[in-house]
Amino acid sequence: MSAPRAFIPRWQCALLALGLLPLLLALLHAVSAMPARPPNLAADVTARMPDSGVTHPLTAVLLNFRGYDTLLEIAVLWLAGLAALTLAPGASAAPLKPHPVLTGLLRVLAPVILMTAGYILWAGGFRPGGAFQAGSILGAGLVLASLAGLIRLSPSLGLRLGLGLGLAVFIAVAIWSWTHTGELLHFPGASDKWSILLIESAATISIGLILLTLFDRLTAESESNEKKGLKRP
Amino acid sequence: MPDAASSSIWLAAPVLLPLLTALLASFTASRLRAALCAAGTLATAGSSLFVLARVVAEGPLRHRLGGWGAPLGIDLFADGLSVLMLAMTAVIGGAISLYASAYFTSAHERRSFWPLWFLLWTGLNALFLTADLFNFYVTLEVISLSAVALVAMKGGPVALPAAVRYLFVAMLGSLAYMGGVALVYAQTGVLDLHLLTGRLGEGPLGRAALALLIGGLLAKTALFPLHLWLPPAHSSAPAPVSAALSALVVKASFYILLRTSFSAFSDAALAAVGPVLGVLGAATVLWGSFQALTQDRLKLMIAYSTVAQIGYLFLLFPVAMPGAGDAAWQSKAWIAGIFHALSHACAKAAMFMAAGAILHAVGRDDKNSLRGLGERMPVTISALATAGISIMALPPSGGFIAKWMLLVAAIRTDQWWWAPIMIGGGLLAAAYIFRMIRYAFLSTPDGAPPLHPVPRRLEFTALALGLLALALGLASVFPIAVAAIGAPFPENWFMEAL
Repeated sequence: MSAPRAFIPRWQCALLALGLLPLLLALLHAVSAMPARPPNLAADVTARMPDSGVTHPLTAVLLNFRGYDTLLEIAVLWLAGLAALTLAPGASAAPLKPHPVLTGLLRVLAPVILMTAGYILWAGGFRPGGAFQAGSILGAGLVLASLAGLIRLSPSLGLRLGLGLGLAVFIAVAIWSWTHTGELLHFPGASDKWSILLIESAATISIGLILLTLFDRLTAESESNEKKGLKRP
Repeated sequence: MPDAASSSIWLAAPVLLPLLTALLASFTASRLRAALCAAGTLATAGSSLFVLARVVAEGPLRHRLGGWGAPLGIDLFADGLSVLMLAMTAVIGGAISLYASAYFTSAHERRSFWPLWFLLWTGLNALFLTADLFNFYVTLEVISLSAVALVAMKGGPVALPAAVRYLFVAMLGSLAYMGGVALVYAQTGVLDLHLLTGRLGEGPLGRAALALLIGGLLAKTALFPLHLWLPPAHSSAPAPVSAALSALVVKASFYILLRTSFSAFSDAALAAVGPVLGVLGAATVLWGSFQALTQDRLKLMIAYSTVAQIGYLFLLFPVAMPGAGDAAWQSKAWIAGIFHALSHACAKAAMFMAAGAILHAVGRDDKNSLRGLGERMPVTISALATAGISIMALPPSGGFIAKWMLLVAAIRTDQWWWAPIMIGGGLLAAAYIFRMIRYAFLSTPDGAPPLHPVPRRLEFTALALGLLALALGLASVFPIAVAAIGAPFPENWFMEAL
């Protein structure tokens, strides 16, 4: 048990696939029995939209109706960044000297990236968008800057604060709403819109930094393994 | 559903307090962190016990998050079963924090452990306090990812592959569970457990949903034949992490299955699923026990024993399901399963903590390294022995009460065929525990190197939990009375059990 095998023999894979095939067929059969108009909560969501502070139903569900799920999801993302930071300590994978060509490219791209991320974040209130999409765009920009050697990740307090910012703001808003309404994440009065915007803005920054951390730690780890001549387990 | 607004506010505290502690612990440096984590442990455990006290005083509590209420929003919910699990996590979690404060010495270990541990605690509390099928999935993710990271934090050629395998199984289990939730929503349009009462498992779509839900949860609970990931992951982790995994984490996915099956499953679905779970549980008991018998390393033996004891939890399903003979005894099988989860948590945490102390003192944990420890580490060996009494189910331990109730319930509901498995599992447990502990009472070999000094906190925390597992048998009335609050069986049946 303790000695792991690197590869599963091909015949075992084939056997497994063959064994799972009937299950897949049974599942397909079951799904085909799905009602043509499945019952759902769309009518409830539409009815409560005016109280949600936003006009896009997806954002209303994610940040207001089921905001608690999203609070825990933000915790999961933070956990991923934190785990990568603690499990793979070591120097950043970014080059030591800025790369002249990539720096030039970034000079053009950076404003566009920031503006797009900002717009997508704001657009979440009334059309598809929000913190997750905006955070991914911001993260892509940060990865580019790291590849160009303009930023080097270090497990400093600043980075840790940045990774936790989204979660910290979410918890703070949750506790603030709790003290005002007696119900967790029940945004008082007409504060829904600004509460959601505050949570999403902070989350965007953290998600961007988490993506950068994951990219940097994974590349640093695989490079140091290659230097040591280790093969992947 | 009684709704005491004044108390229900506090349902969120056992989730928010450890989450806040985890966050702050990732920012702070060593000295401040130690004080913060001590305060966070006290606050988390205290808030959990406070919720227990409120539920005992007022009955089941419900908190509408965001003020929306189910089905649109998510409701937090606590009844007797949830607060028992919450209290179990508070006691074991408090002990783990105490143990870990002496166990981890390097700055890197401490920086890694504390935020991850408090996140794990957050996930466990959040899981025990929710009543929403999708929210269960989110809490499972918090638990699985922090648990995997905690196993991996030791690094090296044994722990890392074990952590990766654990990650893959956990993700596969989550995906299957999530697929099941999607199908449930497609069929019923709701996710709240109380709105789903008796509705799961109808028609081909319902059966497929149920198969996915149960399959995912079984993989996460390590039921035969999906158990292979557990022994390497649990035995290669640092001792406080092993204790948390074996005592608490496997109970989380079991809890979801227990809660949904006796409320949301239709009677026909439960009647179909119950015997299957029973057979798999029986196979797990036997397979885990035999494997434990052949191990030469203490931590691996304890990990295989966890597999075996998980099997017992699943024997409650066929005995407690509706239509299985004497109705009042079904409720006793249900209670017995919960009681087994509680006493196993204390005993198994104590054993892994004792094994951690031995590993620290001797540097190895093969059976020969135990020689002479009866004299040289009496506190630790006592912890191992008292916990062992509960695992072997000897009176007056908590394990005895649980297995005795389950045994009698099986016979009273005309399902005597489970009895040989239960008794056989107990005898096998006695065999594998005595086989290991025997070495502690052999004389110290000549020229044995001196023991590395062990912090007393490690030894005494383990002993306290071992004694608690023993004492649970003497103080079984209170947990049983708590479990009856909001139980899926008439309350007067429980009074007979007392």
